[in-house]
Amino acid sequence: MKKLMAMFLAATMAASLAACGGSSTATTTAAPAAPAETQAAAAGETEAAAPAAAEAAAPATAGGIFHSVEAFPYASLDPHKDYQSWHTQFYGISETLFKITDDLSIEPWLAEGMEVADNVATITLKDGVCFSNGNPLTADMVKRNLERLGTECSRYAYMLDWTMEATDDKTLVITTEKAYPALINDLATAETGIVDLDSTTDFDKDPICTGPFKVKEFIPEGDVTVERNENYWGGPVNLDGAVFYKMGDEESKLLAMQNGEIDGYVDIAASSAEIYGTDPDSYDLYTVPTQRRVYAYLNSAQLPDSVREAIVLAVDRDQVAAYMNGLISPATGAYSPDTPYGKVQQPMWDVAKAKEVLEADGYTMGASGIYEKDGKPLNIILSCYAKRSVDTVALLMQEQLKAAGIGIELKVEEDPDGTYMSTHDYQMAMYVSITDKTGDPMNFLEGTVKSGVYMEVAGFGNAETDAMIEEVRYETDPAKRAEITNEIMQKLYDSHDMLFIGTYNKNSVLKAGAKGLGVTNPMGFYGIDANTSL
Amino acid sequence: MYLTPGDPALMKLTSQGTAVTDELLEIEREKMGLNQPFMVRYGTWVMNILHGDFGLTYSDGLPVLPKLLKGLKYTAILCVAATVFSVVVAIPLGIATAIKKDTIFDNIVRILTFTGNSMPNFLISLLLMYLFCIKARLFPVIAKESVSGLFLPTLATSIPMISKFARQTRADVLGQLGEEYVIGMHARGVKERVILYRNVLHNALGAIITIVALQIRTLMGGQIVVETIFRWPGVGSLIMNSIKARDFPVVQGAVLILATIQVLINLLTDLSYCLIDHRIELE
Repeated sequence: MKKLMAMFLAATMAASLAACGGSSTATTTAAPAAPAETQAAAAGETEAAAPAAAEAAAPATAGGIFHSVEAFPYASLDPHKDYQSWHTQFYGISETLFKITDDLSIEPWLAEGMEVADNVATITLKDGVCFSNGNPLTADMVKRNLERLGTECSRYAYMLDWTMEATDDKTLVITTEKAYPALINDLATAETGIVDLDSTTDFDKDPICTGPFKVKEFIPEGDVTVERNENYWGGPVNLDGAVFYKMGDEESKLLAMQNGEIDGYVDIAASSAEIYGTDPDSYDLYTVPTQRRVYAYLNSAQLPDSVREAIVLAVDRDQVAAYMNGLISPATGAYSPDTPYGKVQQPMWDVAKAKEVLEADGYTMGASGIYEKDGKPLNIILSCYAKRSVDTVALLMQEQLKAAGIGIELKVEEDPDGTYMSTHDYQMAMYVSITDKTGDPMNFLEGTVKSGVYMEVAGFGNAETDAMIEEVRYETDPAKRAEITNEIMQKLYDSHDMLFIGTYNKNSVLKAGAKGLGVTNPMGFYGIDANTSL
Repeated sequence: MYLTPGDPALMKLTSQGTAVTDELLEIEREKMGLNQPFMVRYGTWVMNILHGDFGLTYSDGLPVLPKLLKGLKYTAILCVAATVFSVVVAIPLGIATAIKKDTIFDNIVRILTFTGNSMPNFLISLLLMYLFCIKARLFPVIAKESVSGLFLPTLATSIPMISKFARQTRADVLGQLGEEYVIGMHARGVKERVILYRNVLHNALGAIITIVALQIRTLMGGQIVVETIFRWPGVGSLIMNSIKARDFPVVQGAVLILATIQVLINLLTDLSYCLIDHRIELE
């Protein structure tokens, strides 16, 4: 009887392992986890090699249906509602006047260009742009779209304060109260997707837009099927259409990809990436750092400056990123160092200096390996939460800080916003946000650095930097704008009130030979386009 | 829900992780009616419910009731399919193992039911997907909302249920087989089949109905894991997503409807006792 039971359980466990690991080839040949730098480099090689290969050979397949999956269900395709546009644009349905490129610069899309004179911006639309029903795009339609966005979406209610005038079919003049240098960035966000307001009868299920695809079938909170827009203004569209299945479970996505039921998807888990990585002949992997950063607030009201500085110095971002196995890349600032406004960064890992800072402030190393002062060990509570593996990052930081003589006790909350972010009662706390949504520094400055705002919970905000943020808001010279932003960020970093740890990667997989799906763009709202191929 | 930490307006505005200003938060709270006192909000919700209006969701501003009804429809389909399948398989299995107590057949079934009862749902689901979709290629991984799409979720839901029901049936039937009335009937030469199906099973039915009803109640709350893995659009994942987003109107509506369903199931269960045991009377 016991033998029978043992044999049965062994068989069950073997079958379990097979199911969890994907194909037997993938599991048996899986290499040990490579450090993030290596992975990033490998991904870079893949990306670099891919265009060359594409040039060398014609697209593998002309036409066809691209199959993909999305994790979260959406009940509406209306680009002007909340964040629905991120998906409408990802499906190739809606487009904006300008677009954010892979290197976060702005380039024209539906617009030919924009001329700015003080607080007046003149936007000229491209010739020949039309909706999927053949109706031409006019400046008046753009104006009414921006007004509708201001009405439908609170985040863009400020657009209702603009004076907008369509001087002719192709020219829209926007007058703001003061000079507004981030206007072009605003017009590049997915939320400003343009819809044919006159012809659309069901904004939630079938918005008529200008993209290379149009809605064929939309099941609210279910699958989305799009088909080629035969009237696409941008030229021939390669694919016949695409289907985006709602699928929340990562293992199911992996099995579907291995079974050949989908052609690629974005935001793959690190565990899946490892399996795909073992079969480069079948899958192309892409990794792009996004602008979604994980960072820690260091409460200046509860921690002395020396401790905060030591913490900033004692966290090894490279090691954290390596442990996270491709989920994040190291970050030492709110903005990418490649941007003009991200030239100032936090100091890198330096445990010796961290210890020096603490010892200079009177801390002495205790018998337990934790610094002490006035007989009290230096133990800090680090508040965190489980979403986006923030708790794992916190766990790694705990080990690193302990090695530097700083004791950390983890406190995991279900919801940071309902707890420490609201009460401000914490010593050190983890958080995640997009620090650069539009290729412009303003969103982070006014949402996280400015005094009194919701995400400014470290106590950094002050009148001086508030005034500087207002300068950035209205400064039209990009160089000067970047200079002021760098000054603000220097002050923030010098305060040691925030510790930037990593930036999340956008990890994507495509079946070998397939192209597109926005895999090289750090923004999450670029997906299939006219050139996407199977 | 009111006491739950978390601000629905903030969650809505930051669902993609972007920073928001305090002014914007205030505008959104006002727009969503979150600045009103608790009693006013609750009173409005109750009055609207009495008029059949479940309100609009916080997350996308669409009506709550159609969403819930759609989810409940699919949950009910899965629940009925899994329950019928489980009962049809488990009760004969339970009876057979009771009759053949301590035989190899009994021992094998006991091991299988023990394992089925112990395995977590996600593991069963992934194993089934691997076997049926990858190895046997009988079904696609990306299932449709159809009869074929229902097969694997039903099987995944049924395996633990069959295990529970079969073990319960075996225990109850064994208990009845040891009763004196069974020995008496044997002594009087009553046929084995009559003893088993007209007396033993009938007397064991009360406990079996109780465990089946309890399982139906659990299933109607939604099978989040099975629904997520097999893309079955039931109410479980809808409720879970709504809880995470602090989408109070959806959660409140779901609690109200599911509580009503639970009460109805309890009522039907109690009524069924009267049918199988005439000593129980309605008072």
